[in-house]
Amino acid sequence: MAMSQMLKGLLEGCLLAIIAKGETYGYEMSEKLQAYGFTMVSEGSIYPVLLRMKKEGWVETVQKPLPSGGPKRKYYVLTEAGEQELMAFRKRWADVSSGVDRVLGEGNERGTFEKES
Amino acid sequence: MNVELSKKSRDFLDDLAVYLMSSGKSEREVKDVTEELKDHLEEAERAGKSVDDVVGQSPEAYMRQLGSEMAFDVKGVVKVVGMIIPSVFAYIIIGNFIQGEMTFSTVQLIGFPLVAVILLLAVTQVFRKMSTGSSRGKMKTGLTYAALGALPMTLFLGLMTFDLLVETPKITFGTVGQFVLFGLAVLTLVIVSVWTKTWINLIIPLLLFVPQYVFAQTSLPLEQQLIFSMMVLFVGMGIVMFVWWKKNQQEEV
Repeated sequence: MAMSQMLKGLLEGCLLAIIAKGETYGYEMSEKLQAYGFTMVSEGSIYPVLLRMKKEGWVETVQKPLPSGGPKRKYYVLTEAGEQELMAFRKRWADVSSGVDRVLGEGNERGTFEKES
Repeated sequence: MNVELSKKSRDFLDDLAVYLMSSGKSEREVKDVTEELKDHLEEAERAGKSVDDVVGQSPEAYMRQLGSEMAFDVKGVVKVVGMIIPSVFAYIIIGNFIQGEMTFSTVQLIGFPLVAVILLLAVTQVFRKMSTGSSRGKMKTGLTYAALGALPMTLFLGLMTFDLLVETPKITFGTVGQFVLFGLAVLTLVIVSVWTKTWINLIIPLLLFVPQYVFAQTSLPLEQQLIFSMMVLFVGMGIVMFVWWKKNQQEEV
């Protein structure tokens, strides 16, 4: 099953926010997502999203050798365009979530959703 | 330190690489993505998770998702086709040169590159299909590979038969023309080798044609010439594969 478009957009915004906190790599990002409770998607689904974010120019990647030696690891850093996109996402999310909150809150006050008569 | 990945993870990474390559993605990008996922899978397995936790329910759907975010590598495909068509002609010309006869019909001139491209397409599409279908039956897989294996001979025989049945204009080259074409063919193989940075396109013709030429100078009967040439080819290929395998093994460590 493909991820819904909405979930993909949310994952994108969350990844931008995580990368904004400092350079990081794939597994670490998925750990952080899990820790924050973003568990609706499988771990691997960050990679198609990261590919797209790189294509859009929001992130850049750097290869660095592992502390233990051995193969190199790919780290992500946010670009200027990425920071702007993160700001835009924060604004979109604030609008959407406050709108949804109000709708849900109103429903709660009445106790139930009324049926049209 | 280096914990070996589980077979299931390794199989998934191999399938993914085959799927992406046969979908026409650039080799560098494919390597990039598979290495990143390998790194992830290694850490995930150390934490007691499996491929399924990482990839989700359907590896096939996951491969498609990744593929859809990667651009079709036009340059790479042009490079492969641009390498194969001249190489096919180079092989045919060198073979004919050794036999001392060079006549090409229009059907052959059009047919050889066409057959080469059809084969290339068939091989990539079969591999692409195979890479995503983990639950396919053994029987069906075997039959598909057998059909794929028989395809080159079928197509070439078909082409030859067609060539015999249909009369088309022919070009015959004299001694000078033969030498010129031979020179061009060798040059083509050298250029392709330099371009692709592989030696295989020089090693195979050497193994294939040098013995043929050498044995043709002897007074041995034709069958023995062919048998000895084949033996040199197979033993030579065996040695090349072995050296390659050794080299790859060293790189993996």
